[in-house]
Amino acid sequence: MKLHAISNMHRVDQVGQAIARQLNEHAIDLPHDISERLRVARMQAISLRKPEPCPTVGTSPQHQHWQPR
Amino acid sequence: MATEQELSDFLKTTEKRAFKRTLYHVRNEESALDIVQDSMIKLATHYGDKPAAELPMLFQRILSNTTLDWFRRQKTRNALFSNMSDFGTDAEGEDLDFLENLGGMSEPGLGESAEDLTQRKQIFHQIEAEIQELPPRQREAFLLRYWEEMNLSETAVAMGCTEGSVKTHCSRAVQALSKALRAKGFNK
Repeated sequence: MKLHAISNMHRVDQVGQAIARQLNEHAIDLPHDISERLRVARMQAISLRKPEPCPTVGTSPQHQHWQPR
Repeated sequence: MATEQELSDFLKTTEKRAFKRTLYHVRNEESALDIVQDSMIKLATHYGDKPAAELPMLFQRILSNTTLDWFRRQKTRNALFSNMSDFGTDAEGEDLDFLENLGGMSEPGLGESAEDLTQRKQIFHQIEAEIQELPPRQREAFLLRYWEEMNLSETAVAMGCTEGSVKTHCSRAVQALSKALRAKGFNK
Protein backbone atom coordinates (compact mmCIF):
# COMPACT_ATOMS: atom_id res chain seq x y z
CA MET A 1 0.00 0.00 0.00
CA LYS A 2 2.75 2.39 1.02
CA LEU A 3 4.90 1.34 -1.93
CA HIS A 4 1.98 2.06 -4.23
CA ALA A 5 1.59 5.53 -2.73
CA ILE A 6 5.30 6.28 -3.14
CA SER A 7 5.27 5.04 -6.71
CA ASN A 8 2.20 7.11 -7.50
CA MET A 9 3.77 10.24 -5.99
CA HIS A 10 6.91 9.64 -8.02
CA ARG A 11 4.76 9.47 -11.12
CA VAL A 12 2.92 12.66 -10.17
CA ASP A 13 6.29 14.37 -9.72
CA GLN A 14 7.46 13.23 -13.13
CA VAL A 15 4.34 14.54 -14.82
CA GLY A 16 4.45 17.78 -12.83
CA GLN A 17 8.05 18.33 -13.88
CA ALA A 18 7.15 17.61 -17.50
CA ILE A 19 4.39 20.22 -17.44
CA ALA A 20 6.68 22.72 -15.74
CA ARG A 21 9.31 22.17 -18.44
CA GLN A 22 6.77 23.09 -21.10
CA LEU A 23 5.92 26.17 -19.10
CA ASN A 24 9.56 27.12 -18.72
CA GLU A 25 10.21 27.45 -22.40
CA HIS A 26 7.99 30.48 -22.90
CA ALA A 27 6.86 31.77 -19.55
CA ILE A 28 9.70 34.18 -18.93
CA ASP A 29 9.64 35.75 -22.39
CA LEU A 30 8.18 38.96 -21.05
CA PRO A 31 7.41 42.13 -23.01
CA HIS A 32 10.12 44.78 -22.82
CA ASP A 33 8.05 47.20 -20.75
CA ILE A 34 7.40 44.57 -18.07
CA SER A 35 11.06 43.56 -17.97
CA GLU A 36 12.03 47.22 -17.65
CA ARG A 37 9.62 47.84 -14.80
CA LEU A 38 10.94 44.78 -13.00
CA ARG A 39 14.48 46.08 -13.47
CA VAL A 40 13.53 49.47 -12.02
CA ALA A 41 11.76 47.76 -9.10
CA ARG A 42 14.89 45.71 -8.43
CA MET A 43 17.11 48.80 -8.46
CA GLN A 44 14.76 50.53 -6.03
CA ALA A 45 14.78 47.53 -3.71
CA ILE A 46 18.57 47.37 -3.77
CA SER A 47 18.80 51.07 -2.93
CA LEU A 48 16.64 50.43 0.16
CA ARG A 49 18.65 47.42 1.27
CA LYS A 50 19.16 46.99 5.00
CA PRO A 51 22.60 48.44 5.64
CA GLU A 52 25.46 46.23 6.76
CA PRO A 53 26.25 46.61 10.46
CA CYS A 54 29.34 48.73 11.04
CA PRO A 55 32.17 46.91 12.83
CA THR A 56 32.28 48.12 16.45
CA VAL A 57 35.50 49.81 17.48
CA GLY A 58 37.06 48.23 20.55
CA THR A 59 36.02 44.64 20.05
CA SER A 60 39.10 43.56 18.14
CA PRO A 61 41.60 41.47 20.12
CA GLN A 62 44.23 44.21 20.31
CA HIS A 63 41.71 46.51 22.02
CA GLN A 64 40.31 44.04 24.49
CA HIS A 65 43.11 44.37 27.06
CA TRP A 66 43.81 48.01 26.53
CA GLN A 67 44.00 49.94 29.76
CA PRO A 68 44.06 53.75 30.05
CA ARG A 69 47.19 55.09 31.72
CA MET B 1 25.43 38.05 4.95
CA ALA B 2 24.47 38.57 1.32
CA THR B 3 26.39 41.32 -0.41
CA GLU B 4 24.59 43.95 -2.44
CA GLN B 5 25.77 42.18 -5.58
CA GLU B 6 24.44 38.81 -4.37
CA LEU B 7 21.08 40.33 -3.53
CA SER B 8 20.95 42.03 -6.91
CA ASP B 9 21.91 38.84 -8.75
CA PHE B 10 19.31 36.86 -6.84
CA LEU B 11 16.52 39.31 -7.65
CA LYS B 12 17.61 39.46 -11.28
CA THR B 13 17.34 35.70 -11.69
CA THR B 14 14.03 35.54 -9.81
CA GLU B 15 12.03 38.58 -10.84
CA LYS B 16 10.55 37.29 -14.11
CA ARG B 17 9.44 33.99 -12.66
CA ALA B 18 8.07 35.79 -9.63
CA PHE B 19 6.08 38.08 -11.90
CA LYS B 20 4.63 35.20 -13.91
CA ARG B 21 3.80 33.20 -10.81
CA THR B 22 2.01 36.20 -9.32
CA LEU B 23 0.25 36.89 -12.60
CA TYR B 24 -1.14 33.35 -12.60
CA HIS B 25 -2.67 34.12 -9.21
CA VAL B 26 -3.99 37.66 -9.60
CA ARG B 27 -4.51 37.76 -13.39
CA ASN B 28 -3.66 41.44 -13.60
CA GLU B 29 -0.30 42.74 -14.83
CA GLU B 30 -0.31 45.97 -12.84
CA SER B 31 -1.17 44.18 -9.61
CA ALA B 32 1.40 41.48 -10.25
CA LEU B 33 4.08 44.12 -10.83
CA ASP B 34 3.10 45.93 -7.62
CA ILE B 35 3.21 42.69 -5.62
CA VAL B 36 6.64 41.71 -6.96
CA GLN B 37 7.98 45.20 -6.34
CA ASP B 38 6.64 45.23 -2.76
CA SER B 39 8.14 41.79 -2.17
CA MET B 40 11.54 42.87 -3.46
CA ILE B 41 11.52 45.93 -1.22
CA LYS B 42 10.46 43.87 1.82
CA LEU B 43 13.24 41.38 1.18
CA ALA B 44 15.85 44.10 0.78
CA THR B 45 14.79 46.25 3.71
CA HIS B 46 14.02 43.50 6.25
CA TYR B 47 16.25 40.64 5.21
CA GLY B 48 19.04 42.27 3.21
CA ASP B 49 21.47 41.24 5.94
CA LYS B 50 20.64 37.52 5.72
CA PRO B 51 22.98 34.98 4.12
CA ALA B 52 22.57 34.64 0.36
CA ALA B 53 21.50 31.00 0.72
CA GLU B 54 18.43 32.04 2.71
CA LEU B 55 17.18 34.57 0.16
CA PRO B 56 15.21 32.18 -2.11
CA MET B 57 13.07 30.77 0.70
CA LEU B 58 12.57 34.15 2.29
CA PHE B 59 11.55 35.71 -1.00
CA GLN B 60 9.06 32.95 -1.86
CA ARG B 61 7.48 33.34 1.56
CA ILE B 62 7.31 37.12 1.24
CA LEU B 63 5.86 36.86 -2.26
CA SER B 64 3.18 34.43 -1.07
CA ASN B 65 2.26 36.64 1.86
CA THR B 66 2.21 39.80 -0.23
CA THR B 67 -0.05 38.08 -2.75
CA LEU B 68 -2.30 36.98 0.08
CA ASP B 69 -2.41 40.55 1.40
CA TRP B 70 -3.45 41.70 -2.05
CA PHE B 71 -6.33 39.23 -2.06
CA ARG B 72 -7.32 40.35 1.42
CA ARG B 73 -7.41 43.92 0.21
CA GLN B 74 -9.54 42.80 -2.69
CA LYS B 75 -11.85 41.20 -0.14
CA THR B 76 -11.61 37.88 -1.90
CA ARG B 77 -9.89 35.99 0.86
CA ASN B 78 -12.71 33.51 1.06
CA ALA B 79 -12.44 32.83 -2.62
CA LEU B 80 -8.68 32.36 -2.32
CA PHE B 81 -8.93 29.84 0.44
CA SER B 82 -12.06 28.15 -0.71
CA ASN B 83 -10.71 24.68 -1.11
CA MET B 84 -14.02 23.13 -1.99
CA SER B 85 -12.79 22.03 -5.36
CA ASP B 86 -9.85 20.36 -3.64
CA PHE B 87 -12.23 17.67 -2.52
CA GLY B 88 -13.16 16.61 -6.01
CA THR B 89 -12.72 13.00 -6.99
CA ASP B 90 -9.55 11.98 -8.73
CA ALA B 91 -9.39 9.38 -11.43
CA GLU B 92 -5.90 8.25 -10.53
CA GLY B 93 -3.62 6.96 -13.19
CA GLU B 94 -5.34 7.35 -16.51
CA ASP B 95 -5.09 11.12 -16.67
CA LEU B 96 -1.35 10.94 -16.23
CA ASP B 97 -0.71 8.59 -19.10
CA PHE B 98 -0.71 10.99 -22.02
CA LEU B 99 1.72 13.28 -20.30
CA GLU B 100 4.45 10.74 -20.73
CA ASN B 101 4.34 11.93 -24.32
CA LEU B 102 4.42 15.51 -23.16
CA GLY B 103 7.36 14.82 -20.90
CA GLY B 104 9.11 12.92 -23.64
CA MET B 105 8.88 15.70 -26.18
CA SER B 106 12.27 16.70 -27.41
CA GLU B 107 13.79 19.94 -26.28
CA PRO B 108 13.43 22.78 -28.78
CA GLY B 109 16.33 22.87 -31.19
CA LEU B 110 17.56 24.20 -34.48
CA GLY B 111 15.90 21.37 -36.38
CA GLU B 112 12.47 22.08 -34.96
CA SER B 113 9.80 22.55 -37.63
CA ALA B 114 7.32 25.41 -37.67
CA GLU B 115 4.61 22.89 -36.93
CA ASP B 116 6.43 21.64 -33.83
CA LEU B 117 6.97 25.19 -32.67
CA THR B 118 3.31 26.06 -33.14
CA GLN B 119 2.21 22.97 -31.25
CA ARG B 120 4.64 23.76 -28.46
CA LYS B 121 3.24 27.27 -28.14
CA GLN B 122 -0.32 25.94 -28.15
CA ILE B 123 0.55 23.57 -25.33
CA PHE B 124 2.22 26.38 -23.42
CA HIS B 125 -0.79 28.69 -23.71
CA GLN B 126 -3.13 25.88 -22.71
CA ILE B 127 -1.02 24.99 -19.69
CA GLU B 128 -0.99 28.65 -18.63
CA ALA B 129 -4.77 28.83 -18.95
CA GLU B 130 -5.28 25.63 -17.00
CA ILE B 131 -2.91 26.71 -14.23
CA GLN B 132 -4.99 29.84 -13.77
CA GLU B 133 -8.06 27.66 -13.34
CA LEU B 134 -6.54 25.61 -10.51
CA PRO B 135 -7.68 26.26 -6.93
CA PRO B 136 -5.21 28.71 -5.35
CA ARG B 137 -3.50 26.29 -2.96
CA GLN B 138 -3.06 23.68 -5.67
CA ARG B 139 -1.67 26.32 -8.04
CA GLU B 140 0.75 27.55 -5.38
CA ALA B 141 1.93 24.04 -4.57
CA PHE B 142 2.37 23.14 -8.23
CA LEU B 143 4.34 26.29 -9.08
CA LEU B 144 6.60 26.13 -6.04
CA ARG B 145 7.26 22.41 -6.28
CA TYR B 146 7.68 21.95 -10.03
CA TRP B 147 8.32 25.37 -11.50
CA GLU B 148 10.47 26.82 -8.73
CA GLU B 149 11.91 23.33 -8.22
CA MET B 150 11.62 23.40 -4.45
CA ASN B 151 11.69 20.14 -2.53
CA LEU B 152 8.77 18.98 -0.41
CA SER B 153 10.10 20.44 2.78
CA GLU B 154 10.84 23.85 1.26
CA THR B 155 7.43 24.00 -0.39
CA ALA B 156 5.76 23.15 2.91
CA VAL B 157 7.64 25.93 4.68
CA ALA B 158 6.88 28.44 1.92
CA MET B 159 3.19 27.54 2.00
CA GLY B 160 2.96 27.27 5.77
CA CYS B 161 1.55 23.73 5.69
CA THR B 162 2.67 20.14 6.13
CA GLU B 163 4.57 18.08 3.59
CA GLY B 164 1.54 15.79 3.39
CA SER B 165 -0.63 18.71 2.37
CA VAL B 166 1.90 19.69 -0.30
CA LYS B 167 1.78 16.16 -1.70
CA THR B 168 -2.00 16.25 -1.76
CA HIS B 169 -2.15 19.66 -3.44
CA CYS B 170 0.50 18.67 -6.00
CA SER B 171 -1.18 15.40 -6.79
CA ARG B 172 -4.57 17.04 -7.30
CA ALA B 173 -3.05 19.85 -9.36
CA VAL B 174 -1.25 17.44 -11.67
CA GLN B 175 -4.35 15.28 -12.02
CA ALA B 176 -6.46 18.33 -12.85
CA LEU B 177 -3.95 19.68 -15.36
CA SER B 178 -3.57 16.30 -17.01
CA LYS B 179 -7.30 15.84 -17.25
CA ALA B 180 -7.87 19.34 -18.64
CA LEU B 181 -5.08 19.05 -21.20
CA ARG B 182 -6.29 15.66 -22.29
CA ALA B 183 -9.81 17.07 -22.71
CA LYS B 184 -8.38 19.81 -24.94
CA GLY B 185 -6.90 17.18 -27.20
CA PHE B 186 -3.26 17.33 -26.13
CA ASN B 187 -2.95 13.61 -26.04
CA LYS B 188 -0.86 12.78 -29.04
